[in-house]
Amino acid sequence: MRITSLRLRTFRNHDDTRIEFGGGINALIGRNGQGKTNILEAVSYLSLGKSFFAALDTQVVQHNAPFFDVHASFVSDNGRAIEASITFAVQEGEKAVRINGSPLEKVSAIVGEFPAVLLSPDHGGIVASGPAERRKFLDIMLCQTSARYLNDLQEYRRILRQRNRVLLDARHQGGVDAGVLDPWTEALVDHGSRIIQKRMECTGFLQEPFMTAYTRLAGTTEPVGLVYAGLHGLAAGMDAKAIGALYHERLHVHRHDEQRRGTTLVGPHRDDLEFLLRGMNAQDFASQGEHKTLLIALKWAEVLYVRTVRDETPMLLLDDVFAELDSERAARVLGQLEENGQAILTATDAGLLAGEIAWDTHHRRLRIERGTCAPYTP
Amino acid sequence: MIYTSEALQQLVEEFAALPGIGRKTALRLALHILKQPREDVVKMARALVNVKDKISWCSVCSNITETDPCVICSSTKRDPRIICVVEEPSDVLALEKTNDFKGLYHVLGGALSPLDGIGPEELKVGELLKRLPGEVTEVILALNPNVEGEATTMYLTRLLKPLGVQVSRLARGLPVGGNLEFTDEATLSRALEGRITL
Ligand SMILES: Nc1ncnc2c1ncn2[C@@H]1O[C@H](COP(=O)(O)OP(=O)(O)OP(=O)(O)O)[C@@H](O)[C@H]1O
Ligand SMILES: [Mg+2]
Ligand SMILES: [Zn+2]
Repeated sequence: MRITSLRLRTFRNHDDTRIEFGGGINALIGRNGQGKTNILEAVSYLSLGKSFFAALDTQVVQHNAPFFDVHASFVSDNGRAIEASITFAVQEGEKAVRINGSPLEKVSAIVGEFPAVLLSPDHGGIVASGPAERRKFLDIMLCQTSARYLNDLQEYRRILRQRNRVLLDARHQGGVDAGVLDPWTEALVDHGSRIIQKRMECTGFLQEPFMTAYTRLAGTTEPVGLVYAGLHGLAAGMDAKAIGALYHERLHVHRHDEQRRGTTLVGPHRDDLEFLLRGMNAQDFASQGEHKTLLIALKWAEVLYVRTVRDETPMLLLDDVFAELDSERAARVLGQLEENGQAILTATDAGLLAGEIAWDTHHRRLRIERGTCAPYTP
Repeated sequence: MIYTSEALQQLVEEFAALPGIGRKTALRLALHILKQPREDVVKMARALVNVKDKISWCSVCSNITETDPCVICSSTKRDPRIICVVEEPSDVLALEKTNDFKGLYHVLGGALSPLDGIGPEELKVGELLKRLPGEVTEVILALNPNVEGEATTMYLTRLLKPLGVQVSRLARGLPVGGNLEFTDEATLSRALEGRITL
């Protein structure tokens, strides 16, 4: 999938910006605060149906404007042209999504239609901070590739809240009624084990492309790896049924703790995706440049995963990735991008985009200034 | 906003208190009523009071009724060996429209939802147990296909199975008359999971 044109109206600091994209690398160049990231945000809106950055749609609407509108044209891998738009009206609080002019019943139905892989400075957290960010990484990727996963995840979250309420109520009432708790436990295990299975399967897939990409980008042969850390006793290749049995067993082991603390202590909402560098947990000791490289390698693996599962190449959105890389690594990243599908990236300075790219219409450079877009002239 | 009539304001407030109705719609409805002939408005007001005065709950199946037991529970044409358990009276109406179900019903009055403070005591579960087993040989659980409906189905299954009745649930299938191509993936995936060997 590639995006060929984009129009933003009263979206963040863009009044009315139109952009034509090339099929290769599209570099958005501009000083701080000019509206580069906002363009990536708009593209990812069409991919996720919501902002990756802002919690609320209202934050994205230009100050004092009554609505925002993002309209784009795409071409799929097999050459089909598709139009899509997403509009949010502040007063009504309503978001409307259209594909080829017809409204979608649910906004979430757009998820997966225009697959994109995004890497932003906020993702620094994936390797460096807590497990929540890493789970979110897996969830976003899987939701884009499986409607069933999205459904399981939404329902799992609801079940979890219901089950936690039962545990909390029981704590106040001095004891849990098994008849009341068990149905929620059953539902939790049913949905949870499918979620765990998908995440493990996906981690298994990512392993190889992740290692290959890291080795290439870092120019070293240091061993790296990914491990899905979940229920005690979890092993690669387990099916959802075996995971379910294990999940029941772990809940049983923790039942007294759960009742004392009034919350569900085991399950996919607690799991982690660990990054290994030189055999150790990368989050504890990797340098900033190494973090960035691990992250780019991960995103690379994600592109391959989405492409394999969806049979559609995702757009790669890279925000500020060159900031912490040395010039050699930056050149290797660009070299890798050049051979691949479409990428949209941001940089504050054209000088950061070292290497031998032939900038023309396939690979283009655009200047972003005060919420406008124009061809870049050195 | 200043109303020039207290009666109008009162009516707007009554409408606005209804589920799914905002202030704007409430005002529109109130102005519409004002334009209606008096006898139509009286008819409507009487209908409102009647639902409160005439309708009560069937002491057997907990459905809404004007007679006790309700017309379904007291009908000799219904098969008393099968009970279909639903969440709301509206679900009974939906199933009756099919003309395919000839058994009896039981209306729970909702589904389990701890977050909303709804546990087994808030539902007509005890009333259901009182009807079992008796002549009943099968209980069909026809609850909503959402998280709460599913947990309620599991809860009831555990409760009912030891009583020696057959317990079944509705199949999770595809919409009839629909097109496979236009069925959402999650529904399709579940239908695939529940496929039937031929
Ligand atoms: N809702 C909004 N309405 C108007 N302007 C907004 C809104 N939200 C953000 N902005 C403005 O958009 C600008 C930031 O744009 P953006 O984050 O895209 O910058 P950038 O070009 O990526 O900069 P940097 O290089 O610093 O990352 C800021 O000036 C900010 O004040
Ligand atoms: Mg930025
Ligand atoms: Zn009755």
